[in-house]
This record gives sequence, C-alpha cells and structure tokens, in this order.
Amino acid sequence: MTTGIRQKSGARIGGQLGRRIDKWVEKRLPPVEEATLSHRAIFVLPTRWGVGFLMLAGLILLTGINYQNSMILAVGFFLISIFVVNILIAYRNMSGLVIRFHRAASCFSDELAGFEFLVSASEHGAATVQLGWTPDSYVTLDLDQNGQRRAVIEYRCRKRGWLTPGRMLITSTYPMGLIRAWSWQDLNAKALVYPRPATQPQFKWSASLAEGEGKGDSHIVGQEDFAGLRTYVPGEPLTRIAWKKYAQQGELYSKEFSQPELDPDWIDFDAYQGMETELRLSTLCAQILELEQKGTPYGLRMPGWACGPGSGLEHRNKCLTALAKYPDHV
Amino acid sequence: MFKRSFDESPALDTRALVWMVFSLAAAAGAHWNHVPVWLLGFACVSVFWRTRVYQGKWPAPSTWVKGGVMVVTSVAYVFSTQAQFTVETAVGFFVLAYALKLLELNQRRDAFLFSFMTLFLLCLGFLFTQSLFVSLYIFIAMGLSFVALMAVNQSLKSRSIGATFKGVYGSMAVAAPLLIVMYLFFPRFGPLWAMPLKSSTAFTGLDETMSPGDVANLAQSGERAFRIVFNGPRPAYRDLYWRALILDRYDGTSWKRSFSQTNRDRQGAVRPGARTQTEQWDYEVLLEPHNREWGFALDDAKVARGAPFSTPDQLVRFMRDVKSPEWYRVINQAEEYRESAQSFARFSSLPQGSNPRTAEWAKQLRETTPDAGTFIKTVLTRFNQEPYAYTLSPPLLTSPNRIDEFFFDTRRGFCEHYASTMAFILRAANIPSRVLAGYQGGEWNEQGGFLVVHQYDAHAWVEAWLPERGWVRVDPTAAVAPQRVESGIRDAVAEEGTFLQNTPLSLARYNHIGVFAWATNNLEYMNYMWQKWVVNYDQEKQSSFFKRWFGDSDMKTMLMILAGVSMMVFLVLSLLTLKAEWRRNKGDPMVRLYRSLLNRMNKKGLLLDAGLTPGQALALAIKKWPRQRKLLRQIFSEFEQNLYADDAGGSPDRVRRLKRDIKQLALNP
Repeated sequence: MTTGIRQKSGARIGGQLGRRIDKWVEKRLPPVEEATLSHRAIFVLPTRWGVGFLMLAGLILLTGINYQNSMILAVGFFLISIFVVNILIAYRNMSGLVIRFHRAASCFSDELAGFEFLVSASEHGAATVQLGWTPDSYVTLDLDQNGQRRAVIEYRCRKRGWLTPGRMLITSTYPMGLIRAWSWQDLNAKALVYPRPATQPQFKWSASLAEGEGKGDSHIVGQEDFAGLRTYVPGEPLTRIAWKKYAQQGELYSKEFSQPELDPDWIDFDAYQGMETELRLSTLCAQILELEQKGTPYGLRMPGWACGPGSGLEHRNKCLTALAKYPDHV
Repeated sequence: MFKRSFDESPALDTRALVWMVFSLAAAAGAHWNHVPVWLLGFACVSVFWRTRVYQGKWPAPSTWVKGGVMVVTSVAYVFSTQAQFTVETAVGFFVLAYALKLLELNQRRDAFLFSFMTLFLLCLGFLFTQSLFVSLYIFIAMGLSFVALMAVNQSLKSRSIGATFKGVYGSMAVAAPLLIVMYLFFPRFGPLWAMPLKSSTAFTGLDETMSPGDVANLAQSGERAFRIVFNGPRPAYRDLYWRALILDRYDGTSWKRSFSQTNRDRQGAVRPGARTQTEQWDYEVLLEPHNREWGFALDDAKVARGAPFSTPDQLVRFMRDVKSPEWYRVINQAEEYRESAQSFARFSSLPQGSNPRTAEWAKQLRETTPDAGTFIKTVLTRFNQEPYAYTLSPPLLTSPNRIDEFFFDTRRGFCEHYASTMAFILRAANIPSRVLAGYQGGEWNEQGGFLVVHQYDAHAWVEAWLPERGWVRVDPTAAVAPQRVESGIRDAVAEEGTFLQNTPLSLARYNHIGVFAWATNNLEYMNYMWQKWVVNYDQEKQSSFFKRWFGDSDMKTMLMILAGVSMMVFLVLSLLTLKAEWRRNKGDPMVRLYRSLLNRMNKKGLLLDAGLTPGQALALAIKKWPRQRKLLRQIFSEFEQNLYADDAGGSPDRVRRLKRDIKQLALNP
C-alpha cells in the first residue's frame, strides 16, 4: 500500500489477535472530535532497544556478582532504575496532549490529501510526538509548554468521495528510544476527494449540440467571435479582460463575445452515455478543469442536479464536489 | 483495520554523531591508565577519520579497508600485550572494538549498539577502582551517554543543551531512590561461576620474593593499601608493623616462602574466645583489592570478624584473592605457641658456602657473645655506629655473595638489604630467624580517626627466636634510620629527596605543603566514608542490616522485601507522574459536574458530543425527555452562567444546589 520502506519493527500483529486488538481499541477509544490523552488512551511498551538495555543491565549485574564488585552491581541497578524512570517520562511526554482535527483541503484522486490537526501540549511540559497513519506520512512535532502546533499529515487518496483515513497513531519514543508510548485515536478526520481528471479525455457536449454541428469546436469559434467591450464585473475570468484597453485608459473592460446559438458551455453527465461511471466522472472533471483554465463560463448537469453557468474557484469546487459525491450529489 | 506498526527512520544526524564522540572520549578516558597508550591514540584517529567521512572530505571506508584496519590493529594489540589474557587486556580489546565500531557508525542501529558499549565500558572502570571520585566520574559520564542516546533518538531537536542536561541529570536523580532500594535490598551472594579473567596487576608494594640488590631504584607508589580504625587505644607509631608474609627460605640471592611455610599459611587457627587481659589492640581493617590472599595485621593478631582467617603464625589470610574492598576486624591476643624441631631447621638453614665473609663474622661474634639478646644488640649497634646509610637508590649488588658485598663494601640500602643481612647473620650465628614482609607506619587522618597505609609504607624486617621469649621482632632498618619507623619513609629520605620520585603527579608527594596536606586529608576522609558505608556493603553487612530492621531473613524474604519496597518507590513515582493528569481531570467542580451529567445522559441513550455547547445539549435533552423540560432548563441555564464566567467554578453553595437539582432529574424514557 505504501511506497516507503517497511522495517521490521514495533508491534506488527496480524490475524486473529490483531482483529481482537482492533475491536478492543475501537471500544475503549471511540471516535471523538477532540482527544485529550490520558491513562485511558496511552499505551506503553519497551522498544527492542529497551529490551536490549535491560539485557545490558542484566549482563552488568552478572559481571558485578561474579567479580564481587559493589559498584558494578550499582551500575546494573542504576540502568534498571533509569529504564523505569524512562517509562514514566515517556508517559508524561504524551499525557495531557490535546489533538483535534482542524480541516482538510480537497484533492484529486491519486494525489496526497493534506489533513490539518491542531496539537497542544499540556501545561506541565513540552512534548515530542509523531503522528500519522502510515510510516511515510509520520509528522514529528516538538511542542513547547502550552504551545499549539499545526500538523499537516499527507495521505494518499485512492478513491473518489469522502476519504476517512480512520484511526491514527500518535506515538513517541522520547526520551532515549527505550520506551514507546502511543495512542490510537479516531478524530473523525475526513477529506473530499475529487475524481482524477482523465488524461486523454474525449469531450462530448450536450445532446442538442452533438446533433447539430461537429464536435465541440463551435464554442471556440464562438469565443473568438468578438462582439464588443463592456465594463468589467468582478468575478469574470481574467482572460476576458481587455488588457490593451486597460493599458490605454486605466479601466477594466471585459471582452464581449457573441453568444453562439447552441449552448456549448454546459457540461453534461448524460452526454457520455454508456461510459463506465468512474471514467465518465474523470472525463467530466477534466472538462471542468479545462474550461476553468480557459476562463469560459460553464455549467454542470448531473442527474437531478445542475449548477451554473459560471466560473471561478468557488464554482469549480461546487461542480467538482458534485462529481466527487456522485451518486449522492443531490 | 488501522495500522499498528511503528517504523523509525534509520538515519543518523550530526548531533547524534557529535554526542557519540563525546561519550567515547569519556568512556575511553575512564581507562586511560590500564590500556596501552597507542590504543587511545587509535581512538583519536578513528574519531578524526569518522569526522572527515562525515564532512564528506574523505570517502567512507570500504569493507576491505575496515576489515584491514581491524586485522592490523588486532594483531598489533595481541603483540603489544604479549598475548596475555587478563582483565586488562580484555578491557583493552573492548576499547579497540569500540573505537573500530565508530568507523562504521552509520545508522541508528549502530548508534544504539555503540551507546550500550559506552555504558558497559564505563562500568568496567569499576573493576580497577571503586573510589568515590572514580564513581562520581563514571556516573557523570553515564549521563553523557544518556544525552547521546537522546541525540540518537532525535529528542534534542527543540531543546537547548542546558535543558537537555538538566532533564537527563534530573531523571538520574529521580532514579536514585530506586537505585538505593535495589542496592540495599538485592540479596548478595557469592560468584555464580569463577571468572576466567584475572587481573594481571598486583596492586601491592609487596612481593613473595625479596632479592635485595636487584633494583637500583625502589619503585614507590602513593596508592592506598588499607585503612585501619582503632577501637580504643592506638599503638605507638613505631609499633605499627603490619605483618603479611613470612619469608623463611634463603637461596643465596633471595628470600622466599618454603613449601612448609606456604602450607602453614593455609591453615586456619581458632577464632579468639572471650576477651582476655592480654588483649591490647582492637581494630578494623578496610583492605583495598590487591589480587592476593594476604591480609595485614599487627603482632599476635586474631581475626574476630570478617571473611579472612588467622594462620598459626598470626598472619591474616583470605580463602580467595582479594578482588574487591574487604573489611575485617582484628584483636590482639598473645598466645603461647611452640615451634617443632622441624620448624627450627627451616628457620636456621642457609645454603652451603654462601656469603662466607659475613658468616665467618657472625660466628666469631657469637663466640664472644653467647647470649642471643646481647648478640642481636651488638649487630644492631654495628648498623647504627658504622657508616651504613638508608637510601632508596642503592647501588646494584653484582657479586655472587651479595650480603658480603653489602655488609662490608657498599653499606647503602633500604629495608630489604638490612632485613636480609640481619636474618642471614642470625642464622649463621645459630639463632633461628625469618624475614617478615609487610608495611610499617601509616598516616593518621585525624578527622576520620583512621590510619591510612600506603604502598610506599612497604617494609621488611626480621623476627628472631629467643627460647625464653618466643619470636621477637628485630628491625635493623630502625637502627640505621630511626626516622623510618618513628615518623615514616618521607622523613627518612627527606635529605635524599627520593620520596615518590617516580610519580611526580602523586598528591602525597606534596604533602609537606600545608594546603595539599589539608586537601588530601579531607579527600581521604570522604573516600574512606564512601568505601566504608557504600562500597563495602557486602553479604555480612547486608544480613546485619536486615537483622536490625526485619529480623532473620532468608533469601526468599529478602527478595520479597526487595520487591515490596521497589513497588512502593515505583508507586510513589507513578503517582507523582499522574498528579498533573489527576489535577487536570479534577479541574473545576462545575466542569466536573457538567461532565458527569453529560455522561449520565449518554448512558441513558442520548449521544452528546463533548464539543456541544450547553445550549445545544439542552435542546437535544429536551427533545429526549420533554417531561423534564423545566428542570433541565433550570439546570442548564445555571451551567451556562457558571461555566463561562470569569471566576469559573462558582461558589461551593451553587455547586451544592445544582447537585441537588441534578439528583431530582429523572431520566427515564
């Protein structure tokens, strides 16, 4: 699933036991809007280096006993004590951390969605934590006392629609890497994923148009069919501004084009009859993006829903949202 | 299904490398005086090399280069240690492996391993000494390697160095109580198996053979041999003869122990009974490890407590070589004992035709003075009156008849020369005699009330058998240089200036300067307390400690007590850790009350989110329980007023009233 190099580390439990743990965590830590980490939510286990550290302490104790050396024994005890203190520090580092999902920007399928989280440390101390869903997306945060930080975690979108990455890992091996403290939290993070724009789209236009003239050239002709100038209305695409005029007079004018007889700016879901649904949505998406780029006003017709005509980022997002949510777009 | 793996980046950053190098310096520094110097030089080279590689100035060494360096240095090391297999060489080899490991320190994995090696190397420093200052050094250096571990774990990013050190040494302080509990309560027992590695260095100024004339300069050391605390009166300084070895066999050049003496040294004599009238001194000895079986005591010693035993010759012996500080208590009990005829043969024999001039001289003198006591006095007078000199740098004795050469020609020497000559003369005159090796004198630490005996106090003297008095101590050195036994070797060679001449760094050398004397005295005192109370906490002390507090305890009880007390300490530490969380959860009473109300409603089936405002929650609650509308409104409006007020919390009175209202609330479907 992920492209990052997988290391054999930590607790990777599969199968029956894994499902059991999943269920137990699901029950113990239900999804919340804002998580404050406390003893209910924090788990602590030694890392493999922690186990190694204890083995080192054991070796030192053996040396101390066999050489009847008090201070070597003391070092062995000291390492064990340090290990215990590390457990407490690791816990303290995580305890009181407050995490909430802030927002996520929408993205196209197969891109990386950025999820924004707000993380703040408790009043009693600073913290160093990592959070994320997959190892290659882990974000490391160093929090000051009472400080709030924004963490943007990227997640690869696979499918159009609502993306809910689910339970995320908040973890830390602070301070010495001997102990891992972690928590699993489902913060109801979600992002809307637009369909992936088709790479080599075959555009079709409204049925009425397709019957009359040839394929979709007419609107380009129509655009070039210059009719005159009128005062610029904010919100109109910048490509329509008569820049020469602006240079001469210092005022903004829009170029007015004669409206073609047929309505070429309607992007129609029904125009792609017989196409596989995802490909159809991808093609529509590509169409919207192209028109948006050209600055042509356009509208989108979906079954039982229509939007437009218009242009601009807001309009575009509205149309793309409808594509993303299809068939629940109404 | 969510992801349950914790993956870590394998890379190592600069900061980690820098701290690794620091901790390497600290750990190698702990062994500077027992590994070959070139090994430390090699460690420096490997630090330099690794730094250049890190800077990208030099290419990373290939496997072949690393392997080559490893083989070359290992072979060089084996040659430089003459392939001996001792603790020192093993530690040296560990240092070598450690320096080599730095060259291939590329990943987190290596760095963790390296840090563990650092910790182990540091703790091996205690094999050589456990003094207060070395202990402090080692524990502080361990803090440094903890900082290095933090750097490896990338925990230093946002923290200043000062804060990091404060954190590390702070957590070491927190670990201290747990350490103390384990140190006190962990049951002590003997070695589980014999360690194959023995230390090669004998930390003693004494030797089992004495061949005067072999060396032109007596090697001296300012190291401490043992300390003594007297319970009750102290003997005079000139009576502080600490006996360790009886050398009874002379082979023409050196004095050694005969087999019968060696066997006798292994026999235990009975422990002393009730205190008797003749008992003079009662003292405790705190012995530094010296890798021999010997203990030290005054004449007529009987070991009263501790690991060693007394031999029939009133020497103190251990069952094993002394590898860690030992404590024992001795009382003096004069006792009549007999020597068998066989023993006298052993104490009277001399090799045939050895040192003819001296032998002849002795025989002639014995003929004129038949009384043994007078004979001894006459010989001592000769040493005192004739131009004999006490010196630490005597001429070498090269002739086959060394005693002749010394006694008649060179006349310059130290205790060994005089003791050897005296014993020879007595035997030649048919008076049984033996050479005693041990220490004489010591240095009083008035603050601690104890006597410190150093290696440079090593001494040799003679015991002669007088039928009516038994063994009598005869010290010819005292006749030559009375200061040696009256006030110590420092004064005896003050004119010559040879005291500790080989060790200019020894603090003891400057003890005639007031400040130095004061400082060494105080350091010695602190060190003594450390050894006495901390390092020397052994099986015996532990069992008396348990007896005092818990009654008689066997291993099982001790382990249970250890577990119990450790758990208690851990519990206290955990509660301290949880305190912040507890306080936060407790929070303000109004908030708690509100939360508990929401919880109760949640249980009754109304799913309220914590993020909702009281207004929103109220609307939902009214929808669910329309009958309780009035009461709900009243409660929620009260909450709304108090929860967001500046003086949040409200008066206890209001909280109480609200509680009562909530009680009345019947949340039945």
